[in-house]
Amino acid sequence: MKRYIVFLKQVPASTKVGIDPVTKTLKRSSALTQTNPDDLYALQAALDLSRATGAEVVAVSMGPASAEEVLREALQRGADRAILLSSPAFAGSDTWCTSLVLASAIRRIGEYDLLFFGRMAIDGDTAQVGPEVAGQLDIPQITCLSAIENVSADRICVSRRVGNLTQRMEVKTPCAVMVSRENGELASPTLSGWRRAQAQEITRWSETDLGLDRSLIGLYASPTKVVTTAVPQVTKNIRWLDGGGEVFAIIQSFVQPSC
Amino acid sequence: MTDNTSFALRVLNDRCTGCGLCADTCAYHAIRFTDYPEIDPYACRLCGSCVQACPAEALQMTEPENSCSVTSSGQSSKGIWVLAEVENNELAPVTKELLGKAVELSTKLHQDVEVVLVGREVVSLAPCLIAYGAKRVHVVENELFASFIEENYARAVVELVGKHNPEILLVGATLRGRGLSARIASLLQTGLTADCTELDIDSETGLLHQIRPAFGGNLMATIVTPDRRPQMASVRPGIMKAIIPDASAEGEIIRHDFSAFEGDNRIRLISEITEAISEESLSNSKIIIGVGRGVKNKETVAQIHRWAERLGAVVAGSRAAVEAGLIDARMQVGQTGHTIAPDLYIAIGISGQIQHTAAITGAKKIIAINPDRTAPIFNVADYGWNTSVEEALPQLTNGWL
Repeated sequence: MKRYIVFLKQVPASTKVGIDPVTKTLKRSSALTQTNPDDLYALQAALDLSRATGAEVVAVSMGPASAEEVLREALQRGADRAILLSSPAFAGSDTWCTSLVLASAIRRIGEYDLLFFGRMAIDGDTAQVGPEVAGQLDIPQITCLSAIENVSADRICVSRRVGNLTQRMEVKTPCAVMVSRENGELASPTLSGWRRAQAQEITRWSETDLGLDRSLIGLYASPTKVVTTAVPQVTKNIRWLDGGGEVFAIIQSFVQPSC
Repeated sequence: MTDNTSFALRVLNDRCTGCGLCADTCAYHAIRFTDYPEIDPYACRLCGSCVQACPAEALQMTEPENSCSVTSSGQSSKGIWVLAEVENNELAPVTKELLGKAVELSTKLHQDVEVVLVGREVVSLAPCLIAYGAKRVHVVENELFASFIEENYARAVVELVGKHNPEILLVGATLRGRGLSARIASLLQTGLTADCTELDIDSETGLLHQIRPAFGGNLMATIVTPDRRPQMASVRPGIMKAIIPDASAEGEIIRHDFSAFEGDNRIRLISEITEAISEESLSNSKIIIGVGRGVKNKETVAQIHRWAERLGAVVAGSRAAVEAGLIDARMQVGQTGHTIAPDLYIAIGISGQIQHTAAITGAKKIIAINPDRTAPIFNVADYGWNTSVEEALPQLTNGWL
């Protein structure tokens, strides 16, 4: 039995941050309301591949109870089952601790062929969790994916583009694949998919189910700690220009800096 | 209900003034405010924003119960290490930039700047690294490192780090560096802060302050790695400044024996092509012209390209322009594309979404041309020209030699 595991994160609909004009504190009013865009493409890649291989597609999300919505969407789009990793003990996990939780969930799920991650989450922008999970499980990682060419019983053939370097490689499974928007088109969710998803149960695991000691996860266990967060100060004073002449002169000064 | 006494975030009701700022600040809607804030431990991510926001100090992050379990590895670790990036047998610009920063950090931390240089035949690059500030270059050579295979590179670096126990390890947050640094951090079981735009040494603790944009550049977070070593950060290219190379600088070149290194046999490279294309020019170009959705058609883009050629500039675009088919996806500037740091950036018809502006902060000067005076691009621009592309372009291109 083949199995693909896809990881999806619930992220804010907007990453806009406002400043309260009176108190000068942050106002972050955007709720967690969407599935991280790259993760949907990761799911799509898994679903597309599973059509050919018949693999089971398992959707996994780590987050608060509301992250069930992300998993519900994954089921609607065609995932076979969904698992929510949720516990107050997970709060404050950095990428290393998050990877540890995900790796533990993978071990609990059992055998697998491919792990699919979105390249990057729009609220963290780290692009770290996928490769960190691969590192923890000591399996190969495929970053900078351009295309999945084919899969066989125990190999995946991919091409990837790292800057101006294009590589084609055959990688033994299990391995982790990082997918982004550039890698495909999303299929539209169907009504039948929606119906099926409504009837499906979402499994919920906490640290106890994963056999993880609380001292290994969450805020205190995380190797990195956030000291402060602040709104970046815009210190630029713009100079308004009236016409092409002025712009011309400025550009000229860069073209021939010695003049 | 969960055991709230063990949750790290606590509310001291007697201090709370009921202002509600904490609930407004929470990005995760984890605080419900009635008389006092009520934290939903299933939604809270312990980001600490509310603690920072509370004027009455009524919210507190509790310390772990046994805080004496601090690992001692920090005491024996030494050295500010930079992982060199080599492309086409040349040092990537980010490596020189990282060295510049490392030299600055070393004056505060009083530790040597060292470089890990991995590749096939790369020892010839070592003197250049010394000229840019390295006191010691660890050379790791093997035929296997001719191809960029993250699994092999990661294992080599981990082996060396394990032997020498550096205090800090810096990696460029490039396409290569991102995935590689994450794998290295994971294998070393240490923290990694991605895509930092500033680094500093805390004068009291000596810890590395890793400063990075979060929430798409809307917030700047300062992060530390108190216990684990090395303190790892990947650093955005184009932001740090390299020092002026000193060819007479002295340094030590150590060639480590990796002749018996075995590659990861789970990965088989079928083919490898290196193209000499635009990617390079985006990182090297002194002038970059950014095209946005305000540039409505391909004819105008072609016109801009012709103008750019005369200027010796490179044309890139915003995500919107890429999606509209105006600009090649490889030339996308933004959080999901390239971050750039030219001397001059000319943004034409770009509104300036945060994902875009976060990626151009390294530019020394920015000229923005946009018909909407309230467009956010003007918040980051040095010069603004409040006009449409149709108006602007003839004036710019006409008469240009």
